[in-house]
Amino acid sequence: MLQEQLEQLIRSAEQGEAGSRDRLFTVLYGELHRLAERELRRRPMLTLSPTTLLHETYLNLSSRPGGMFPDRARFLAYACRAMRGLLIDFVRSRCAQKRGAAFEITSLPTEVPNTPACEELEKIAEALEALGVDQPRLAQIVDLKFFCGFSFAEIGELLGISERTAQRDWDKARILLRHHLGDTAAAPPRGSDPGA
Amino acid sequence: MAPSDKELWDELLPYLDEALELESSQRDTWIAALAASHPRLAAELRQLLALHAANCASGFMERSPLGAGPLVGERIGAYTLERPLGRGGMGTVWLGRRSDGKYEGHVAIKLLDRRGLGSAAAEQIRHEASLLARLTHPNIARLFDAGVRENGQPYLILEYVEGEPINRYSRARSLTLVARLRLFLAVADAVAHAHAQLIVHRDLKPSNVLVTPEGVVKLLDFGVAALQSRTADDVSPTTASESPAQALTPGYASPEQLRGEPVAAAADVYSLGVLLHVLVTGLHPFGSSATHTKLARAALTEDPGPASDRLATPAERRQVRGDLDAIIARSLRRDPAQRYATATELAADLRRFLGKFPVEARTLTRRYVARKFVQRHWGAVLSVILALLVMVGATVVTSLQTLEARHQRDRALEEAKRANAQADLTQYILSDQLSRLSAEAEGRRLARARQFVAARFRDDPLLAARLLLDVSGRYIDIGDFRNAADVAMEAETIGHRFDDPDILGQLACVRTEDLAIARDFTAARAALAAGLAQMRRLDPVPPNIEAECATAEGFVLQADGDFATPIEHLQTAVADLDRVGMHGSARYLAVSNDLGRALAIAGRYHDAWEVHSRNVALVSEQGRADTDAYLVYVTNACAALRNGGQPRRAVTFADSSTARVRHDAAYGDMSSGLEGNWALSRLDMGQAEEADRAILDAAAKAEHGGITFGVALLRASAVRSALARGDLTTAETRWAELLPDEKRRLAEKEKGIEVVRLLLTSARLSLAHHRPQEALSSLADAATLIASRHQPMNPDALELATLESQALLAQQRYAEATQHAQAAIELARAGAIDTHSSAWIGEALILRARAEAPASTAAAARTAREALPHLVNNLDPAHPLIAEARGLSLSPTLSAKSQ
Repeated sequence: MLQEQLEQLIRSAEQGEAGSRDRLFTVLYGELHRLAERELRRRPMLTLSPTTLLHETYLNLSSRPGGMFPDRARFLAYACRAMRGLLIDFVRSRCAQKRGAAFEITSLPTEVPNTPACEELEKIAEALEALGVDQPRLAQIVDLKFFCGFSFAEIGELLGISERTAQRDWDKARILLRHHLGDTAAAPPRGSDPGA
Repeated sequence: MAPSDKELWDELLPYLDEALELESSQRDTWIAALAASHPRLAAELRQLLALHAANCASGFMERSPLGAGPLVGERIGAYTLERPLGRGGMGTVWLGRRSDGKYEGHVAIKLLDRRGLGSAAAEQIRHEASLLARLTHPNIARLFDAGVRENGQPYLILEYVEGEPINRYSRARSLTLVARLRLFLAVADAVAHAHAQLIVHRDLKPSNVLVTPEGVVKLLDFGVAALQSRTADDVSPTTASESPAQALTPGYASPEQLRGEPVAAAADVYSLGVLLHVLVTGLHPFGSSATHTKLARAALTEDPGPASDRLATPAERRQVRGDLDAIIARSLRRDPAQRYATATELAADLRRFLGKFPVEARTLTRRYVARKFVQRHWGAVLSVILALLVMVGATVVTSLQTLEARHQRDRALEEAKRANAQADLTQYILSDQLSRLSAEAEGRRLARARQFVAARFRDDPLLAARLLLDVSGRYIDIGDFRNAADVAMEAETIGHRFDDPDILGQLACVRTEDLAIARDFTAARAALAAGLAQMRRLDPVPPNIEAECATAEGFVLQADGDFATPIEHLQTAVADLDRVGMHGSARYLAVSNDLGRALAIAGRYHDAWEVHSRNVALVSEQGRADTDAYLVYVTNACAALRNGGQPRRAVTFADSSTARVRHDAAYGDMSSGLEGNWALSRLDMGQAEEADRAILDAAAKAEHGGITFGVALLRASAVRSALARGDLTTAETRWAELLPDEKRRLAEKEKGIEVVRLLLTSARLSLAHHRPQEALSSLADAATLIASRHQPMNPDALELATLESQALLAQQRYAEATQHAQAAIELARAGAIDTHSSAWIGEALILRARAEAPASTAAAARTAREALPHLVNNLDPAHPLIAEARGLSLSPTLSAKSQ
């Protein structure tokens, strides 16, 4: 991606241009993916740290002329969205592997205890998409907390809200997601409760 | 309600906000109140709040989708994760703090890589961590807590330290050498504190040794390496704690760790040594840019050069060369037994350096040797002592008498032997991570110690038996009398229980030697008989017991005047040891040495020289030329050369054998034997001045080492050397100093070598004063004593004959003088290593020539010509005898000279 294009992309995304936003997500997704692969290839037993990935990606992009985001908060807003995509894709592929499909993405520890069940995560992804439409800020908090691993304090700082508010919003988001899950399926059996 | 009913949601959400603000206990009231005004909203809210409750209960979406990495805000035990700090070799480290705010500051939360552990292992980790948590020291980062997460991942809660690695810190601030050493001392003290509690770090390196901005040293990750290894698949308590390869830091890991062997405090000493080297020189001992493989290989096979060599300026080198070099070198020895055993010792030596006191590291070799060498056997130990006596051709009888005074030293050596074994035991125990806790834990540890002793000292059941007694004592300490008694019985009846003739026989033969030293020959003979009886039960006879009993037998037989039989038996023993592949072993060398001695006592100096020089070559090949054993063998070889008539060769041999190590004071007092021999050889060669100095030095050393016998002999020789220099006054003074001690000995009726020596020395003095009759009187007394020894070939007898000849010559009793000179020639020939080249033959020939001269100058000339090659080959060119021989052989008319 050429520098000017990235600059342009950021600018138009900032202006609210939906197509640019999606393209920016794709770019960020690519960066994150690339980094993740590199990390995992170096140390196969590595536990993937979203924070590190984000940090590195930010550094990578910032170091390119014209790759500057207005500020870190803006970067994270986009990047965490991309991170969501990355992680969901990853888990999908693991699920696919379990079902015998071809294994594409880089190798991660085979023992991944306590992951949300594959199907569950799919549903969460779906619910999140929906939430993103109605309550974009709540979806963003999910991205920041769940997919990117920020603390409430950090989220509060990023979004300009209090820590307490961030916590409450997270609770709300969860409620809504749970609600969505409950709506689209029969009451989930206890065993498949994510994170149980 | 459809989720896409946005309006409804917009209405609900603020209420939801409010509800969530409340404490859960207040919510019911609040909803009830709401129901009154907005029943439909309240109903929906109730549902949503129920979901919320379910979320909290099940921890919905609390864990990252990967399930692997923890989340910021996640709780670990009583702490909350704040942000990741970094990743180490064994896991990730997070910054955290207490969830309940009880502890203000930050902690470091280390999540170890291993996962999927069962509850048993988790318990083990908690237990081990609780021991490590007891390590409280201002310079050691605290371990607050440890545990295992639900997903099986172990974690540690550690004191959070902000600081720089010690090498970077000192570089950045350009600290002086002393400042760096003081910093290092803080590190060493901290490690010492841990060692005192039987905790070994196992992974010391700069990144684990931080210095805070305030200049406080903090050691990280104490014992964590072992904790890491504990989480490995095998968590059985009976395995020795071994380091898994991936937990090691090449360049800082000790050789034994690299080999996967059990680890003790000495492993930390090694790492500290590397650190010290780095601090002092700025460089790694094996090169800073080497690859991991290279570093590991270097650590396993090479010895680093002196640290001072790596410094840039001469001033810097001067500061470090010598003592500090030695301290570093000792810490970096590949054999852990050669290093400081704990950080405490290292710190102490470093302090001594800083305080300008002599450092122990340089005398390592001797102490190390004392431990290692003594560990082998009684026989070997005694050989060392007896070898010292060979220097003047002492007989066994007299040597046994003088050994009475040596009991103290024997006991000290025995203690050293036990201490070394004790050190082994302690090392073993130290290598077990657990510090002392309940009697139960101690009991388990002692059980392991018993296994260890049984395995490790299988070859040395005597030592094993003694160690078991130690273990028994410790059982008593913890009140386990039953086990104490068991072990004690095991030890004492170790041989009887199995009626093992090998063990019993060896025990008996060792006792024989003890008794012979104590001159209780009746008991000694009885013990020998018992030992031989046991030995005869064995078929074939194992070489160990054969060698032991041959040595014991030698003691007894030689006292009875039988010198031939011991030689035979010792020769067989050596051959048998050879046959079973023990050639070159310590046992082999010891028995060989005994054989050499026996040969020397029998006057077979040529054979003795062969045996001893072979020993010297063997030890040299083994690279152990810096040990006391080597010295002993060199001494014996020199003595054989000297007694065999080749004093110059003796000096050359001694010089070349010890060329590399001579100037190092490492040998200490043990070298007085060699130095005495060397000095006397030079005196024999005719280098009176140098010999005189050397004799005094050797005497002082012998005195320092408590070798009273050697002192007496050397002091007597000092009289002779003064005479040889022509300094009669000094000779008289020295003689006068000597007399009171010797008079006492005479009074106590000791028929020691000292008496013969005294008499011979007295005779020399008399001759120097031109009082031959007086000399003959002393010589007659000496003759009686010498005759009573029944020794076939006796150097004293040779000296006696030469002095007699001289005395008679002085009285112009030429015929008798000739006779005695001839007797001397016979004796000298009998013992000559090379009958064509012997200083004693030459000397005796000159004596005869002198006696012949008055009657026939031609005969004298012939004799003198015969003497010349013997003298020229073996003496200093300036020796007066050579000039005399030349004179006699050329000039037809001569006045007979007296000495």
